Amino acid sequence: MSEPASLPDPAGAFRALERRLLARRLAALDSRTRALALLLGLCVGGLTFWKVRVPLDGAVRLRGAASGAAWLSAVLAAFAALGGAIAAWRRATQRIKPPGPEWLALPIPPARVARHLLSEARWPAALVFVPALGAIFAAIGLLPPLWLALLAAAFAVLWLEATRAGAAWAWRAGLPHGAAEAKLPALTRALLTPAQAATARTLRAPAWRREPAWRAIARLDLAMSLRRSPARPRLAAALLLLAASALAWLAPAPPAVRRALAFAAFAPACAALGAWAIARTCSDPPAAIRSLPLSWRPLWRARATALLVVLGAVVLLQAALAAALSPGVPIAPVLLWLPAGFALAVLGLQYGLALAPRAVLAENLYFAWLGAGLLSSWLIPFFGWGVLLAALVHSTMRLPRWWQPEVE
Amino acid sequence: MSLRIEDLHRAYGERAALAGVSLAVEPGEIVGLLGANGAGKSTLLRTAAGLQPPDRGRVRVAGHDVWDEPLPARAALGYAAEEPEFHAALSPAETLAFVAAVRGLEPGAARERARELAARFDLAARMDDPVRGLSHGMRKKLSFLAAVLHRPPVLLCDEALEGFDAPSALAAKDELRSLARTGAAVLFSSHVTETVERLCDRVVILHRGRVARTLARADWGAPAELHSSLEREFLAVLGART
Repeated sequence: MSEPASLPDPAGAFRALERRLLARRLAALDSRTRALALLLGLCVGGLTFWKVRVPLDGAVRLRGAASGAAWLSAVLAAFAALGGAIAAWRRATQRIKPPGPEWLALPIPPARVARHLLSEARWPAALVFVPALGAIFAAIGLLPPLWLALLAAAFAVLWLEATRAGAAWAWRAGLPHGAAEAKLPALTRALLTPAQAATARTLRAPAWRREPAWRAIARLDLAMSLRRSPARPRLAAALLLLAASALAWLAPAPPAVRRALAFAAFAPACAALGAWAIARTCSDPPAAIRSLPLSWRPLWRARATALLVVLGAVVLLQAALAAALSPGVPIAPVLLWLPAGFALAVLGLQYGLALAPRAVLAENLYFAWLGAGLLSSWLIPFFGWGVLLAALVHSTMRLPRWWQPEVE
Repeated sequence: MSLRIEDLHRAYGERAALAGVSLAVEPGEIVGLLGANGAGKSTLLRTAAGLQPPDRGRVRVAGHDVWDEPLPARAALGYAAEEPEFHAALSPAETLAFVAAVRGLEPGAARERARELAARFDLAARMDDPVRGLSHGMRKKLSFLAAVLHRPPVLLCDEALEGFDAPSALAAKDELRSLARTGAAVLFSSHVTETVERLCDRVVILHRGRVARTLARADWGAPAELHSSLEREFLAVLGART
């Protein structure tokens, strides 16, 4: 068989693939989830509009349109940076199992595959367009239309660059470094699947125990979180943030600032624990788990117990540090972090169970709720907890859907 | 203890994968499921195992409805998947220990059973290696071991022997026969007609999501020997038991 004179340009095939993937993702959302996403988007956009409009109006009146434009530019830059962080996160999760076929087996230039994977990492980052549009609409009537058009275009360019930089950073951070891989170009190394780079290691023989199912699952979670799996980086991030949160009490700052710093690290740690719970729940192989005599209850109990134990230990440590190092700070509010942090983390667990094995969908929905909660609290102090409560009710109602699996 | 499938329907969009399948597997019986690619074999077995819901119809495992009483049904069930999936970071021994704990098996007996099965299926040397380092054939063996560890009263095998080397295929057939002798109902799908011909007591042929034909062993004049002469020659070269 003779070789073709030249290979066809794969650009058209990739465009069609990306269109189809987008259509499948939209089709995967049921009508209630779509309605909920639309409602969340309207809330986020509307609240951003309100939060930006008032200070922008003040800035324009006091210091002129140029000052207002500079203020709006900073807000849009922050949203673009957030998009970059989301793309980096998404790309880091792609490293565990790059989406698609064995790319290196296909006659496609690695650079073209890299562009496709970048677009795959980018699409969840497009969520930041919702608050960004809210901010731009808030400036209508306050800034000249031409300036607004230029700012919108600049935001789009900045978003493209931020997501490209975020994804590239996450990609390079995960390149395999073995002797055989070191000879390959970086793009090719990035397309190697982790399994190909893995080294076999004999594990310790397990202890065979008679124990309740939830404890066997907790033991499984511990093993999976300590070994290479999607759960491990999330748990590591959570533990680092929890350590930072405890160390904040040693900062050379007034007690109230220490407490604020400690909470500033504690809240994202809880979100990372929620992401850990999603990763653990959604990476359970359906055929292996669902053919066992298990319901969602022991799966929930095992993970909720682990979350409660970790958060309880950290909060007690924080309360002890607060009492010892910041005598002026009341302990009760610190202890209240436990139910709040537990609620944050359990929300991830519940979406993981309700949507398993669709980890990306569960994580997107989880972070969308957290983002809405954060923004709500920014607009109206403590309103975010109300949003979180609504999310908890929604996720609890969805738990019985665990019984209606679809093996993909 | 038996498997009863009644009027099972399942569609993927417009395409009907199962269009009113009914069959029963009695205790002590091995029923083969034959069909072309896309005939609905895997859909039937996955639905019977409770991995995906039917659009209509019922599946009873040992008298329990798979969807109304899922826990007792799954307790009585073993399922060997066509494309096995495991926690890649665990070892086969850890995987089986987890399955044994969740199924509430007596730890000492379960460990012994796992050790004996691993030896028979030539997996003993890899029992403490991570699953991600195992070949496809070894994963298929592990899936089979996890399915039969608790000597299930009802066993579903979805092309379970495809990918097995000859000695392991022999061990698997022996295990299936042994389970059937103790009263298990086995539903066994395969593309390999020769395996079905030699192993099964009855055959159900699926075609376009329907039962096209049911044959008893006498209908096809099944060979008396469980293993073909080529299989025996191959096993003799490997020094395995024939």
